[in-house]
Amino acid sequence: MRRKIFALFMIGLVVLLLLLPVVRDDLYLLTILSIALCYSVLAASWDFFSGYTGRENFGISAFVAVGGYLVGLVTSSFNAPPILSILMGFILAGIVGFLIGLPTLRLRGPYFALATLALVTIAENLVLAFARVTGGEDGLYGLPYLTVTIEGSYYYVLIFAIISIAILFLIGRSNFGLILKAINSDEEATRSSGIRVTKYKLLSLSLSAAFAGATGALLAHFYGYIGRDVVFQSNLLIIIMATVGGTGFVLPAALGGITISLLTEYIRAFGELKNLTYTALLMVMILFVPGGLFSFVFAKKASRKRGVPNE
Amino acid sequence: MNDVILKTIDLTKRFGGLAAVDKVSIEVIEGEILGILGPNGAGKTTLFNILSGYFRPTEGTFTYKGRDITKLSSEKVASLGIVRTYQIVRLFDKLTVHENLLIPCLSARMSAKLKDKKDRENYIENLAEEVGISEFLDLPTQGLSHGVRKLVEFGRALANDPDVLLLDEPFSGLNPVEVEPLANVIRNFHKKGNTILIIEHKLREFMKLVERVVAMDRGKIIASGSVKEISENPLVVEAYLGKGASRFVGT
Amino acid sequence: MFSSLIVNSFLNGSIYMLLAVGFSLTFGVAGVVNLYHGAYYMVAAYLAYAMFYIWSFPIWLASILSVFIVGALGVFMMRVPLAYLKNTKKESSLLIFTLGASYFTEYLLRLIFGARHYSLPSFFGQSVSVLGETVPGSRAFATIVSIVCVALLIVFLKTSRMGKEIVATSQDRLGSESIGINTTRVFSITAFVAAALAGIAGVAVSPFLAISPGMWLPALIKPFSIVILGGLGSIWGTVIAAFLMGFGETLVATYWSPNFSEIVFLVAVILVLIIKPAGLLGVKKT
Repeated sequence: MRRKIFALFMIGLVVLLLLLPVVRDDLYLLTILSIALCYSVLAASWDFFSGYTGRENFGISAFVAVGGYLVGLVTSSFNAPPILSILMGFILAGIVGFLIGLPTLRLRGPYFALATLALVTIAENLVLAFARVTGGEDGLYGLPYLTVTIEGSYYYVLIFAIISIAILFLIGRSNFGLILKAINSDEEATRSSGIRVTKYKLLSLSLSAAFAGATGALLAHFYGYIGRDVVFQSNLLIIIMATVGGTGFVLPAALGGITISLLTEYIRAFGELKNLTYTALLMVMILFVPGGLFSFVFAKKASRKRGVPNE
Repeated sequence: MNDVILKTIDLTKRFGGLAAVDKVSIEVIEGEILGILGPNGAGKTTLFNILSGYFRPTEGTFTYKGRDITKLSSEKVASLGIVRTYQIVRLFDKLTVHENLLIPCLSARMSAKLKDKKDRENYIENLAEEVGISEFLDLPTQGLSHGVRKLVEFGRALANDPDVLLLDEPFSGLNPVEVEPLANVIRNFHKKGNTILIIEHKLREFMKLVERVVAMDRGKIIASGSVKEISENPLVVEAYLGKGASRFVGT
Repeated sequence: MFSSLIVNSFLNGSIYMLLAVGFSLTFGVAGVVNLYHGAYYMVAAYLAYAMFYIWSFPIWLASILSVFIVGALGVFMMRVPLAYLKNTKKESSLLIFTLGASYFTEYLLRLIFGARHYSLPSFFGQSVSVLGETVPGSRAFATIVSIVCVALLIVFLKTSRMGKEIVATSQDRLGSESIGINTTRVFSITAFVAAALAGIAGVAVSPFLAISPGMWLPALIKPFSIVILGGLGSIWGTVIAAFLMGFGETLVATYWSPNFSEIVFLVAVILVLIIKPAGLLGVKKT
């Protein structure tokens, strides 16, 4: 019953988002919604791997960087339609995710998390070191826009978000996602059931990375700019979005992405306090509402029957 | 006379200086129920860990149906048809009973036998009925009673369609009412001609189920034989009750 | 040239050793991978700065107080949020929480002190000459302090009663509880020691390394790499790995570029994972 209401809610939301430019002529609103939609994909990508397998990926921005800076590289050489660089970002980030996963997925949970944290730090260092290519501190300007108009770009982003989140959600709901959750529950018992655990971990990390990379490319084209503020400063924020929204089912995390992103806009005036607020919010949520705001929709009913009559 | 299905040759596993399993050589006949007895720390679970591919032995080898499988990983061992359960129940607690039974069906081995969703659903339904957990299928495993959880774990093991089952204290923590259903299911599995190795402390059930027993102490095999022979063996009694206790053994 | 390499490696390695040993201890004893570890390093440095420059404490008092306060912070973290999260069995929550707490601390310090880099005055003005290299007094002092602290720690663990309880708990927590060891107290003491060691490192390097709100991150990543390299569960492995990393980092910084020196840590981790996942002297916990 809960799910039906939620499904209706999601459909309603999508319809609302589709019709918005027709109903309201507000470019500012469209812009911040576009960004919010990008982050909803990033939060969903993060959740697809970390929420399902239970392995924290603290370096998702490294994958975003692959897609984002790729745009800079590609468009400086030749003028390709944005869809091409987004696709390339998807593939390249996916490959990077796979290569990173090969050695690091052997690490137990906490150490994997640290390795990814180290990786994103290195990625940031590399971006600064190769400033000639990446624009270093300042970033790269003058990148081609998605479309000529803001409305056009908004629809571009919206369609991308709907497709990406839908794909991630459907895969998550399938037996693939079930295996990821079994791995989360007990990796060794999953192995003992004849499942090639490493394969599934690698695939899900690669897919998560691929979508993050594609979104990075999308962001670069949306802003017409890519820089460390777009790519790396949101690393923790993406985790906050997924955690606050709720992990393990893709859609709550995506909703968390939209919510927090919109919240960002409203507390932008607070300046430095803004960051403090997020992290405080994160810590409070972890301690008191670990399931996140929206995942109650998907939570399973606890058993009323407990077993043998003698209990 | 049936063939030897599982054979270990001088299997040894050392942790630091300690040999948890010390030159263990046993032969398991196809279709038998072999009991493994021994006090805590005797190395029984470690032996299972080696056989299931979780541990690499420090020395020694073991073969399955004539093939050396010493170096295989847990996944490969399971895909060959050797499946184990655990002393402390290890279920996929984020999943329902149905989903727990589904996971083995998604392995390479079982996917070949169960071609589509309908096949899998039928298989799981029949399995659940056989084991007696049909009413719990849609419930999350977390929160179920211990007895039911043991049945689910057994069911999940069966879902792999194994030829050999390694059961590590299947009756531990079960009250007398819960023991009976599980014992029946184990017996049914055996009747189909499958092989079982079983570690157990609940001696009454153990004695009723097994045909042959191997006794371990401090990593070594100290005796093997029929149930009667083992229960009268002074070495075995001393291993459990301490030196000198064999004086008190009567029949 | 070569002697400068050796000297610098040794100086850096000793600081890393101090950080890594505390990090390793927390995991080995309490089973917690504390991503807040780097924050202790940072908070101690800022506290010492504030006490010295703002409230005019003498430098030695500021330093010692900072370390103690950070140690107390370590105990608080262990007893309140970490204990709670450990008991709810969600390991992932603990990781996210401690990471979030680190960032929270960074933003808090940035709010209070701004993004400017600070430093403490030198503890010892004089330079020392080692192997023909001129070593600033503060760096030499930091090195000596590190070595002394780790030596004292090893002695403490081997000879004192609490030290032995800590070692026992790290080997078998349930077993230790069953023989009457108060593991909660063991965790608290371990948390204090780990945090204090990190704090000592933070204060000791502040005369020559910048105090900045982001300094917790490398102070987390480097110890982690060192512990992976040296092997979980081995203090000597950690010590050796710390100096190896110090050497590797100095090598890369000298002959290639300082920008890439952090990559050394990650490359080492990846190589270790591929070749010998248990680490140099690692003991695999079953």
